[in-house]
Amino acid sequence: MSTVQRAPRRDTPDAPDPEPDSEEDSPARPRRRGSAARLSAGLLVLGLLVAALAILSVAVGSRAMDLGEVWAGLSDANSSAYPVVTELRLPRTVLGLAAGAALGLAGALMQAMTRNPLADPGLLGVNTGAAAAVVTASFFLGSFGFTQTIAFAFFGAAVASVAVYLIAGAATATPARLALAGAAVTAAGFAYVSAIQLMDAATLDQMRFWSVGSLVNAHVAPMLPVVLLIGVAALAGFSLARPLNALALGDATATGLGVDPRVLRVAGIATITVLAGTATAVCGPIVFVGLVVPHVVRFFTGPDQNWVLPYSALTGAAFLLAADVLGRVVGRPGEIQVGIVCAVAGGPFFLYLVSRRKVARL
Amino acid sequence: MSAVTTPFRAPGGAGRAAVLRLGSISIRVRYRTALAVLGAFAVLVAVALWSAATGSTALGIERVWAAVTGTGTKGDEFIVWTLRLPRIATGLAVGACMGLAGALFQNLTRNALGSPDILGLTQGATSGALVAIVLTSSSLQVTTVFAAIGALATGLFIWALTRGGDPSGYRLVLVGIGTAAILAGINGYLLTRTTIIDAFRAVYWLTGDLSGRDWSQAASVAIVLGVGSVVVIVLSRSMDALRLGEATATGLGVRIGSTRVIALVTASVLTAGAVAVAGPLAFVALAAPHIAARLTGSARSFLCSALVGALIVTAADMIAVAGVGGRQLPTGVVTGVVGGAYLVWLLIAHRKKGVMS
Repeated sequence: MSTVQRAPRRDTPDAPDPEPDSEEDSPARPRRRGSAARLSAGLLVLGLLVAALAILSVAVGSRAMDLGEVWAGLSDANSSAYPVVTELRLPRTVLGLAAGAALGLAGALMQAMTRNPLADPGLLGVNTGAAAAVVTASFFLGSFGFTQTIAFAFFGAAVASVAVYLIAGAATATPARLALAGAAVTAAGFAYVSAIQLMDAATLDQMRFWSVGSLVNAHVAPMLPVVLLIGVAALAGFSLARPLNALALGDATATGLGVDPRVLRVAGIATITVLAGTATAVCGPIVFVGLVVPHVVRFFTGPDQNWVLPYSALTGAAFLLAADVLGRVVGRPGEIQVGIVCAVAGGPFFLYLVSRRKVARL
Repeated sequence: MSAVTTPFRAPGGAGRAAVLRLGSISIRVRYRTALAVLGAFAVLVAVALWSAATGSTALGIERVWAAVTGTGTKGDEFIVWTLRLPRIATGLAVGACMGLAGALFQNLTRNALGSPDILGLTQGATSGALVAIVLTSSSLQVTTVFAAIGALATGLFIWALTRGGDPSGYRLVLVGIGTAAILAGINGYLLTRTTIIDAFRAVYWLTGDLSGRDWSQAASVAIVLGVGSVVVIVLSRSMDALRLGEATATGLGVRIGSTRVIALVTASVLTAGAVAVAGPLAFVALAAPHIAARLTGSARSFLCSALVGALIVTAADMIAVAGVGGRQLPTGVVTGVVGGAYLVWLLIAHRKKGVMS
């Protein structure tokens, strides 16, 4: 599919859909950014990096361990490291991997589907929906357990993204309408959340920690369903690469190539909702990963979704884990929430890339 | 990407129009645009009058008029001149600033989502305000100054990073979201590191409110609005040309680089002025240009966008004052709901004959 990289994005002149799709501010002309062999090798290196970060994430914490201790903690139920490793750090690492991959992949899917570089999974209303549900539950039911929080948040995220899809016109939804509907729902939801927070200080106190995004609750999260949901949705997401490449040529061309844009949009939105909804429900909104990782990835891969999607998932996982480790090291003996580290450490790197390299358009 | 980055296109045909000539200057006025502008203006006047007449003490139009002309009672004059009019004036100016800034940003980035909220200026203002609230726990005036400095510094930062090189709006978009993300992280950090009382004040500021604004604040936003409007009027022809693409604009004799810089600076100043005084009223800057475009059927209406922005803020403030269950709400809570709900309605109602979608 690498030929897609060169394709200029223009609708046929007699396109029936009056989308303002035919204007292009400058001709699409990205160079090919790497051969398949190079990109495969890169994927392998990235996988190794993720593995190394995972080991580091188990070893680093308020009590640092060397590799021997980590191994003992994993294998020997009698060692002193065993409870720390299996009950705290391992779940945290697994959650970091799963959530990072989910957010990176969801972001790449979202940007490909809306064809908008400003789109992040939150634009489907996922974050707002989750926040609104958590706030509502916290306000009316008082305090409750973490598992219930996850359930409420996931439910809210799903409801919000369905609402966005319906408002955007369901089967007639276009990328621009999806983006606008998402922005409108986000704004209304944000207003609701702040209204409740201002009425109830206890809710505010809970929300200000939830809303920065953190992996701190990993040990009480129901790991198996979370990992299963993200795994299945990730597989579904990867399978969308080819149709998304066709969609990049415009709705009319995609239809000509045998891809039904409406079906693709439904599949994409469902996948993104499960991926981002699950991650957000457990960790709180970590906007940065979904928004920025796909851009960074496209600097290296070009716009071919066959590469962008797996790269985004792995880079997201690596990035979130690295940020979490950094937050634990810098904030010792406490920690700095991973969402904050992501933005403050990753942001400047992103800005450096943007101002140095030629930007890769979607 | 292109579907959303070029949202501004008139629907089939440019519509019927009249041409006004005055000496060597001629302006083409589309009937529908004129109708939309006049309609928005009429509703705006009605809403402003209504909010002057209602409130915790209902005065009615006659008593408001008497107070304005100086023939009312002392109490009425106090309510109208000291409490209500400054607040309404601030709301009008703030809304117009935000509407203009949003239209400028959407033109600059050629992106339907391009707004000061997404490109980091609002977050910059918030960082400034949070520093003032959390670190110095200072008064509203200091918070205002810090917020303005934050927004302007962010604008400067974005400009410095986008200067030179790729002149398209794309780099601006990327730099903007990167900056916004960093600042949002800092803001979240500041919020988690403070006492619940300061956090409450911070969230209150973050929501945005117009209560207790006085004439000096109204005047400062009005000055910003006036300067911004003049620049926008001067710039509007170049901005129109830019929408046709860089190559065409260059061919038409437009200096792309300086046009963009001036537009970016103007939008930053407008945002800084509005946000500093009223807080980051959610969604006004993003929604106003879209609603304006749907009303006029054309994207090139800075005037209508400013009017719609003012209308959203004023109407939202009226609802906020009426409140829910006897409690006044912060204005920012209502702008999000009003703007969001209206845009949702427009999206649904205009599903078939969508202007920009």
